[in-house]
Amino acid sequence: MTDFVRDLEAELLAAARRRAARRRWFPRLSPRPLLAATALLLAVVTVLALLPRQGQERPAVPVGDGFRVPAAQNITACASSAEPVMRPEQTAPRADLELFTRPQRARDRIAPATLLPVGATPRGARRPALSLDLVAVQVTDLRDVTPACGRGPSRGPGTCLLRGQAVACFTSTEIHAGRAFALTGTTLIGLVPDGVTSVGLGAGRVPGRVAVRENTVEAQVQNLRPGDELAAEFDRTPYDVFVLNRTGSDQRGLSEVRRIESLGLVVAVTSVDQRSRATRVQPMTPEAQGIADTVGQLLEVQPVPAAGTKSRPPHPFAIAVLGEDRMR
Amino acid sequence: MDDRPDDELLAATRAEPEAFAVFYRRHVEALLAYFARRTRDAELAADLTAETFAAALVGAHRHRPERGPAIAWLYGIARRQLANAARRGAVEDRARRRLGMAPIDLTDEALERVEALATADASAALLHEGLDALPADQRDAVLARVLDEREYAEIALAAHTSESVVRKRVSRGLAGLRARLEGP
Repeated sequence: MTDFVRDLEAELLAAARRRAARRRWFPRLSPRPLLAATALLLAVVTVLALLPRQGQERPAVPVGDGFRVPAAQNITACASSAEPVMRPEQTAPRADLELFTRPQRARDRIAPATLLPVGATPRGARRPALSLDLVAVQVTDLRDVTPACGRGPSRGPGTCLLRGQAVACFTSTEIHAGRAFALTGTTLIGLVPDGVTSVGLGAGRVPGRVAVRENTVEAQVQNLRPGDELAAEFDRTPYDVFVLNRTGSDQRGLSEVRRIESLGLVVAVTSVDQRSRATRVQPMTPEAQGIADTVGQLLEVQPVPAAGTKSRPPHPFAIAVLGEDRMR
Repeated sequence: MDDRPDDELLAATRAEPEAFAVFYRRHVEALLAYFARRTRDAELAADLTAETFAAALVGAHRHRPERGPAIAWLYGIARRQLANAARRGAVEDRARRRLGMAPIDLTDEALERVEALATADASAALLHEGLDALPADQRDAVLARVLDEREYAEIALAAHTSESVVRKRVSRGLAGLRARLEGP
């Protein structure tokens, strides 16, 4: 008698065994000589690296992608002034922190929520982390705050990360370079660009990989101290998926999609509402279209509503998938 | 009986092929029922189940427990397979071809058994559909707490949130499931 479940198990098990056997084709080296050779090689490399070169001092920061991880600053309370850095009391609402060294301007605001991509955000725009403990605030004119509550020189646009009463601010360049990390106590906090799903932290004394949540990283590091060297390696998803809210008219949604496309990005859009079929945008790769369709399925925007439900779930306007080239 | 959690089974698959068989036996009937309920076609459900597990075997080493429970990962693959099949009008066989798996001959008798399994496990399928309908954070919390029996503190750490938030998510998720299972 044919039994599908049993037959499939046999096929899968055979396939798994073949895969395991293929792995064993790699030569097996005895660990002891291998360790000895590695140790010897490391010793030679270390000695060579430590030898002072003629007319050249050793760099303060070791060569490589590593950087010295700074300590997050404590939020400082400043006396009232024409341009308050912070409210006198330390319990200032976090929203006010966006002011930093100047009053808030209209252009500081992130675009209205109506047609914001809610699944991801365009390059350069950040949204707050969802965690109650970790909040990211976008700043258009980042300035260091001096101990005397004065204004430091402008560092350009950036993002500040707040955790409790600690704050660390990074420029967009630092974020894209994987250097936007700081220590607050035994917690390492950091910001990463869009599309990064996890971060490999290379310091020898911190966890290997840390998941990214809403562009932020938070990890407990017992043995890392401010000034220690750290290197970050990004794991990226090949695609960014945008889910556009359908709260405006179809025309507004379409213009938003075209705005994304005008940036020269590969765009695939799947319509999720009968009335918005006109928003199907070309060109789209079959793979991107597949992802967009899958996201539509996941959000239950395409299937027939389940029996017994009185109303269909709220529909996003459209789902756009941007290809790998937007990440560069 | 191997009672290792799913995550450990997937992690062990490369070195220990039998670990994947345990994972398969644990979930195959519910997954068959899930597909049968969605497609109302036993042959299609069997095909989708085979491709889903083949894709899971190919990608087992890519599963990362910190991103969510293994069962959520498996049903993520299942949903993709379902969506692709709906779009193309045919079930993919890429993973099975990559693994060199032979096609399984589905006789009428075998199909009847698949249908019987799907019917028997209809409540499990309904449960999975209910889980699918939950917001992602609630679904992950319910799966981690109820299915994987992980501590609240551990789930909170992995989700970068507080224990109280996780407790709320589990509570709301279970309430949502209950409402769905009990019907209107």
